[in-house]
Amino acid sequence: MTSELEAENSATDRARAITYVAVAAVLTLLYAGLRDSTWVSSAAFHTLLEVVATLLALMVGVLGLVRHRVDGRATVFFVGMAFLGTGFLDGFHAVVTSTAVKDYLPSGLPSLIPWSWVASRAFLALMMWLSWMAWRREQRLGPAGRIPEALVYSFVILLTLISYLFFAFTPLPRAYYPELFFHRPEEFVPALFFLLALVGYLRKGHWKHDLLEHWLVLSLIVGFLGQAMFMSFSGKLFDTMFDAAHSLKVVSYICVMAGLFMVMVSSRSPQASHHIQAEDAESAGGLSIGWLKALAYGTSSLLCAVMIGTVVLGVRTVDDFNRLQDEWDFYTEHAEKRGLLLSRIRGSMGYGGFIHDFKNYVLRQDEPRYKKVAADLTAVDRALHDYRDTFSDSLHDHDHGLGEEESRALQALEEVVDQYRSKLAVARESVALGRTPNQTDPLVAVDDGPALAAITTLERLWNEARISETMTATIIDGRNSVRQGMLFLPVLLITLILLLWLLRGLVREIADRARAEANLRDSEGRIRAVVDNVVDGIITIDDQGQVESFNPAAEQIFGYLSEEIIGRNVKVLMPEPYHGEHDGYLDNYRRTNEARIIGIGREVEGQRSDGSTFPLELAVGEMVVGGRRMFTGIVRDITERKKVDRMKNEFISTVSHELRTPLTSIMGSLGLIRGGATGDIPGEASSLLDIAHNNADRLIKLINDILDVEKIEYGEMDFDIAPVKVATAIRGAIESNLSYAEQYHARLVSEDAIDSQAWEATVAADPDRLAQVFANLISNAAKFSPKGGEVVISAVSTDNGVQISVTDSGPGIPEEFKRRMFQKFAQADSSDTRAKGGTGLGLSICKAILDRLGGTIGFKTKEGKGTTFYFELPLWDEDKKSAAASAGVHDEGIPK
Amino acid sequence: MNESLTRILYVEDEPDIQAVARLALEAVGGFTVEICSSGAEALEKAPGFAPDLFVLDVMMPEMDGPCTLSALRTIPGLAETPAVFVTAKVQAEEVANLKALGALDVIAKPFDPMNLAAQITEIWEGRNG
Repeated sequence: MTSELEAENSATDRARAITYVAVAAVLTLLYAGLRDSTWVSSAAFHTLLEVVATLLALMVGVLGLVRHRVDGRATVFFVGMAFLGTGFLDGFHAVVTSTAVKDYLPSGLPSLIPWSWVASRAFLALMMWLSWMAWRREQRLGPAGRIPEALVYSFVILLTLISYLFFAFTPLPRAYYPELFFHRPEEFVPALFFLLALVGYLRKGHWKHDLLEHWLVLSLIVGFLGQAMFMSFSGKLFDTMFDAAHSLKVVSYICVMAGLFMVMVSSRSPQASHHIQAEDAESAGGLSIGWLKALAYGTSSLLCAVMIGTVVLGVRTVDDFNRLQDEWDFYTEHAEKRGLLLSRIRGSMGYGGFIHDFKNYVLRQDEPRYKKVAADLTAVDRALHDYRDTFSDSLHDHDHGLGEEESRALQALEEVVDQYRSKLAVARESVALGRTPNQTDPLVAVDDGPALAAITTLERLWNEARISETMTATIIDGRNSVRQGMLFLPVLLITLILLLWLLRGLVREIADRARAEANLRDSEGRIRAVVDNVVDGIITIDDQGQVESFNPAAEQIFGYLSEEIIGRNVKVLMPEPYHGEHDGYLDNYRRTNEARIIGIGREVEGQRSDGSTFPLELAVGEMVVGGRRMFTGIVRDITERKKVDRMKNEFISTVSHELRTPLTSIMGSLGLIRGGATGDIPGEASSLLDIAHNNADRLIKLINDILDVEKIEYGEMDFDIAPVKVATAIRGAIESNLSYAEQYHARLVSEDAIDSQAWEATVAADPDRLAQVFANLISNAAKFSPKGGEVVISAVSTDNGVQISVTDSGPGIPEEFKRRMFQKFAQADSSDTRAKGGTGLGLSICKAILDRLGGTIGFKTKEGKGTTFYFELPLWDEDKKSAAASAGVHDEGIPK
Repeated sequence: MNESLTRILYVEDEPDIQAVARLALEAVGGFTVEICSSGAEALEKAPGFAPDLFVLDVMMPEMDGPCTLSALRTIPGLAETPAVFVTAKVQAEEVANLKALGALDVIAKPFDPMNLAAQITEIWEGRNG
């Protein structure tokens, strides 16, 4: 069983160790894969990631503190405080790096983003390392080495405030050093502490069996590699390594949250709840439930606010994106149209266009060229017309409509085209007249300058529109960041929903704990009131005998103040021989579990502070508190009771003597007269003498019974426990009660065939007392049997010994009498006393005897059918002879 | 010591019981009985009476039965005289204590007067075996 468990444990260990290596390997591969990526995100994306990280860190912090209340471990407290502080620093980091506040701080985003990141990372890494250091210190120094919680609170608050102030007022140095191999060397400060904490936690070894510590180790691995491998290589803001490191930070938070949550879920299982309650008693530290509630509600409000903000932001982002997309589309469309129209104009104008062709026509004077020029002119005309048409339509859009300069250029072109058209007519006329090209040329000379200038202007305007820096930067940047924003809004929303769901569990857990604590306080108060006001002394001791508590009644009984006695050994309250024996006693119990005193209310002697001794009744209970065995002793000073007992005994003894003496005379005289010692008696007188004699006899029996009951109950009757054969006892009982039964015409029958094993068994009993029990039961049965009825005596084996029963076929016992059966002077019908005789003490004597013999007695009855009385006796056990003997010795020790 | 029992010294403080006992032992049993009302009286009368057997009540004022017996034992000639106690206290332990003082047996009070003489004779005859 144990080895199976161990095997299972070592399998878990191995699996966890493999997980750590695998995580490191996967991250290394990821790094290799991402090294050449050129992804660049934006400040908006960064802010979103940091908002997620902030919320996660706050959640982990609150979860950790709640967990701490449950298990009271200093490590959990440190982790909780570490994440709470980190949450505030991350929140600060998210705020100062958002574009909204950058103008109010002395440093620009390029330094602010990396440095506030490092501040948060370094804080977390340092706290994780300190959590391990604190554990080691406590390990070395014990509870004295525990770091005071106030110190941790102050440290966290101080560090957080210092960061806030530092970033708000101090200009920061640059964060990127492209000339170095690692572009962000500052990232190694947190990396170093993460590594130290990681090594510490691995050596601590709790990860093998503690779920939370396992996840902590995972978180530290991710944290360390995120710093050392990813962030240190980030070449500029928002590059791949930058984003990867931010994402890994979120992953490392989630690891801790997962650990805390798993522990929380597993501690809800019934086996664990007992454990928690046991620990509860010890853990007194941690934030109060009220503060935890405030934290939890604060965090949930924050989450709700951020969620609403996210939705609003989401809606607005979609709007923004649509607007920017339209703008972009509009812009690209118009820029393209301008380009197309411009090339149409140029194509029909310059080389290959009409200006070139016109010159060729004047030179060559052929008809095809004329037609080409005419067609080109029409084409240019149409292009210019289209240009105007296209852009004058969009006059509503100031940026993209026809500008003044553009319009002038178009006009210049139109004028040039008009000139050429009119000159073409002149040229055709001149050709028809047969003029030489040299004669024609001067007639058709056109100044191309304005046209070329206009073309250049349009080209410039087109180029300007196309590469307009403000235009492209704003639109492209805006569009990209909006697109990323849209990508991460769902991520943020899912995170928020997840966090709220976790918080729900957390708040419920806190509420449960608050209720449990209130109940505990209530019941503690109740118990305290009982313990303080009870008349019995209540003392608790540990398993070494050291007194842990001593209630006011105990103070009064023993004459010590609780301050005087707490921490001392309980044996100071005992006189010899108990004083000397007590250590061996506890020692023996620790070793053998053999309780000599536990649970048994017994009479011992106590010693007061003044040295006087007194009888006390002691009941001892055992309990386990926080895994330690403790004992509760309830003591009652029975000096008074003893005194009263003694007086009562003396009284009874006197009364019995005083009653018996006259009875001896009466009985003696009557006996002598009836016996004829004084001569013959006349018939009438003889029957009256019989009445007197019988009643005197009854009186003696009554006195004997009363004395027997008292003696048995006060342990004054000696019990000589011996082996008794059941068969012998029953046969003897039948024989000695035969004549009595005959008086009532009842027949005594033994049934030895039912259970021969029981019949042959040997029980532990005092033969004389057993005979007394038989005599009482058989005489009762005979008295109540109908004439000639059978009284059946039988025996059966039971789990604990042998049960002997005496059954009659009498009238049965009325319902209302059943409860009082074994009470003294109980008789079902007082008129029966006369008819049946008897003192009404027989059954109470039987019960008292059986109590002393360690047996039980009971009855079954059916009105009109009969009654069975049965009693059970333990089997004779050679080994227990000594125990029975010692019980006898103890009884003698009681003062008489 | 096989001589028959004839002379009995009975010590009993209660006059009524004295009367019953005298009747039971003399009339019914046919013994010669000397009855003393206290231990002191017994010490006084015993040497003269020279009883075969002492019958002593246990609970008596001043000198109780056992005291009386031990005092009687100091009288020369009576050191070996057997004794029987008569008492209302008949617990096994007490019977054992009384026997340890040298009593042959203990007779419980109240005794059956018609049977007392027979009971004493039985004890007397069984004293050696």
